[in-house]
Amino acid sequence: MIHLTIDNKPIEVAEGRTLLEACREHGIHIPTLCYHPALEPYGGCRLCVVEVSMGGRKPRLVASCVYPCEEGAVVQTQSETVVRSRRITAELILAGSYHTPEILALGEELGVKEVRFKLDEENACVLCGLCVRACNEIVGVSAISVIQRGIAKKVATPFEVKSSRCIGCGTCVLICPTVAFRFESVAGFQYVSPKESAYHLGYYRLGGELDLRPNFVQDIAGLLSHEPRAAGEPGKQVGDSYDR
Amino acid sequence: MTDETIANSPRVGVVICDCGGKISTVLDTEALCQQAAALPEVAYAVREAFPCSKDGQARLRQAIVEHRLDRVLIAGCAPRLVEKLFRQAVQPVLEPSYVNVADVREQVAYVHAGDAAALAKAASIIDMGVARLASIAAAPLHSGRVVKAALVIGSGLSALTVALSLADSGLRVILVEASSTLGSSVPDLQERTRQLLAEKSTLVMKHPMIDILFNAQISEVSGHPGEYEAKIQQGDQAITYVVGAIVVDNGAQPKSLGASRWFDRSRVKTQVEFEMELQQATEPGKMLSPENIVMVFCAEESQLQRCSRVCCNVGIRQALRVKQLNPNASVTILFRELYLGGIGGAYEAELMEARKQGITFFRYRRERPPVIGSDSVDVLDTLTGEPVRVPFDRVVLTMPLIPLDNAKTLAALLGLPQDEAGFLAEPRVRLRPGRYADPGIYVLGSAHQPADTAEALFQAYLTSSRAARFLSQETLVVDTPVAVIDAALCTGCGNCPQVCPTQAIRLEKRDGVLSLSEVDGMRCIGCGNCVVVCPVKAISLPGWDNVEIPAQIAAALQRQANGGPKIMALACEWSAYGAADMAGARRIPYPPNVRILRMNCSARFDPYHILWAFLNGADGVFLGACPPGECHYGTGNLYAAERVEKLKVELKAHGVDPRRLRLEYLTVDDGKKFAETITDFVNEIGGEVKM
Repeated sequence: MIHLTIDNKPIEVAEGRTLLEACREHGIHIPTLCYHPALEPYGGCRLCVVEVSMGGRKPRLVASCVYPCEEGAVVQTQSETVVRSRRITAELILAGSYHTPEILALGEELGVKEVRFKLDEENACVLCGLCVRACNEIVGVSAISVIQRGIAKKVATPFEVKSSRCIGCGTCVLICPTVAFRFESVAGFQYVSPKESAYHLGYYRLGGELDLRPNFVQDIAGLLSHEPRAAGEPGKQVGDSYDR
Repeated sequence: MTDETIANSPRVGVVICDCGGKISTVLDTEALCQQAAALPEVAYAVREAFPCSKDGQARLRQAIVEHRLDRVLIAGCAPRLVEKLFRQAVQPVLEPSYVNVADVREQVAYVHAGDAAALAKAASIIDMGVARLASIAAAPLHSGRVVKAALVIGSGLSALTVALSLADSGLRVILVEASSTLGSSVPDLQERTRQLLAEKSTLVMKHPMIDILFNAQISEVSGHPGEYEAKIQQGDQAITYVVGAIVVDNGAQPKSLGASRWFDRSRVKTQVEFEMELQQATEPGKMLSPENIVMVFCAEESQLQRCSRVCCNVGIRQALRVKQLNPNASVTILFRELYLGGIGGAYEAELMEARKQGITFFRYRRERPPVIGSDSVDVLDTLTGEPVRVPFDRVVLTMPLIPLDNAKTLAALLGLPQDEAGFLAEPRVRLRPGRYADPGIYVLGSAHQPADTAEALFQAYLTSSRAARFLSQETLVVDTPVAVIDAALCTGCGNCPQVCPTQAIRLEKRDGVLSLSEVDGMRCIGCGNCVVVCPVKAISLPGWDNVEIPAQIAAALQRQANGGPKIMALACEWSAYGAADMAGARRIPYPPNVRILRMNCSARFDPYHILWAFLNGADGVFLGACPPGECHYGTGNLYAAERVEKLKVELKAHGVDPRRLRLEYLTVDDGKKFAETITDFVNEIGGEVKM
């Protein structure tokens, strides 16, 4: 077991835990954006920063989701430096997505009063990488990845064509914290009615021209009508009172 | 599991997640925990702030050992995100498939107010989860061997390439060719292609790992991925090979002009016929007789729908050869669009050369195709907008490439769909381009769609690597549950083989009167369609069986709903269940009357289960399926739609308002539509529908 102090409270955690895990375990709230318990930590959003000082050294900011608990560490999760750092991080994230409700709520929580920097082109995607990592680690298909660098960096399928690896599970859309993800751009969904497309008609016929009546007609009669019905003719004449 | 625990009823452990307040601030998790603990199957119930944390996982493992739990339900967030995490976490102490996650965060806490109705829904979700765990049995995974051999049908450029590369990697290859020469149906007449073909043919002919069967046709295919038995008819002789994978490259053919045409066939030729004429003219002492040659590209209407990829190149090359043979000849090319293809504009030079040599090009529009008269062709030139009359003594028509005559037979044998033109199509273009209905069956080259040399080679290399990777596996493991047939109950009625999307079920003869259905575990994808159509309920599908689904429906409906109608929703996990999660993730509220049951596929929506829901007091049954064409199991959604229609007729005939049953198509990210349709359904049931 490792002993450390978080927010002036002595805390004991099992070896190999990160600071964020220790805080979650002890009910200390830390804002996160790119963290998900089912995924390996990423250290991308920098909202989870905390101040750590070890052995009398000057305290420094670390991303708690990737920083391991160390014996004797003194951690501050709400110091002024931490709050200021989180606020400017949130403001910078807001600069690219200043209309996204989820990010606005985050900004409000972290005390951003106004967004001073605004990019011309808004993008709800904050590049937290959750979708990419979920596709890789949970689904195990790696249909999407982060492509390009710098300001052009974005989440896309290879060569931005509909992915051949995508199984259409939608985990990427579910895990996206900002509703930025366009499912169609990955899986290429298109709504087709079987009547519209000869291709799908052919496809439908794959199963054979079948008759789907596994003799359940009599059973329904037994289940739903109290009086036994004469054999043979299905009870078409029974009731259509709700017809208008 | 020890014998003792089999004898006893299952001991279910329930972990209720607070999610650090995200759930517990809306729902009274303590009350949920007490309600869960009161269930007879539940041996242990606990509240956790973060069960997904590493410490939470450690405590879960400890609880499993301490309380001798053999099933675990975690009531937390979306199973799609965390079920794998928990299954991995318990692996050392419990069979992973005995861990289930029930969603009370996305489906309750995020979408409903924390009132009694929401709490009742959460309690029902836990009831359903416990009922499921108490009735499921772990299913063994199916596995099968992979035979280190491949069957290649056809001998086009791509087939030869695949055969060579597989044989070079030490795999036995059986090459089946319908004619007596290799590469006889290659449509691209380019010089380089011919050279390549000749080179590869020589290599294939003398390769020790390749057996070539000429004049042979494939007549029967049985078995499953990794172990196909293919019967090949060679003359009167039938040979059976066992192979792991099948590669199809039977090519395409130019459509013939047909005898019924009014054309003067001595003056109007197809591209292939003209090629023969050109070849004859190159022989010493011969010459090319026609002086005025008009080539019509995209000559057939059907070609306008789909480019045949090779004919423009061939046409321009032929025009150049005409000029070479007879510099005084006049060549006019009427085209709609020029597709030259090639990598890096490789064929552009030929076009430039053709223009330099004075070959005339006229572009026509699809609406105004050229009209071939008795001695001239009329065309409306799009450049000038003027009608042009070109006299001819030879018209060359480019006919579209169509599938070979045996494409239909092959499609039936290998279970491949065909597209509207008859080419072998990919059944799940969106899901897996380059992979076909079976893993282990590959279609490439022009069998798939007209392909030029570069494309065919590219596909060949892609397929080579895929097939080699597939064949290099020692065993294939099917990780989904597969249908099991009870031989004592099966009457051999023959319903199930008809509806199986992967042809995994066969009727076998057995002693006595009745034949017996047999499931090929390696082919079954676990959609459950056969379970529904079986009239005697002889088929079971572990995890989605006739025991656990009704148990869950009953559990879902047993608690009193707090006002409003009770709605049972059967939701395909690839569409409506995901959409419900999505509605939660996006915080789109909908009425809490609905109980959502996670199903594998809409093919498994059993009319009996729907009736069972009505009998258990459901006021309405909502079914959520993938939109047509997007079913992950082929066509399960269309079967579901058909069954619902039939069931509605029956319900109506027995005095039940058919509006109480509704099927909706949803995609997995349709959270908004899910919330809207559920709201609408609840309003309809609660309002105008008579009970």
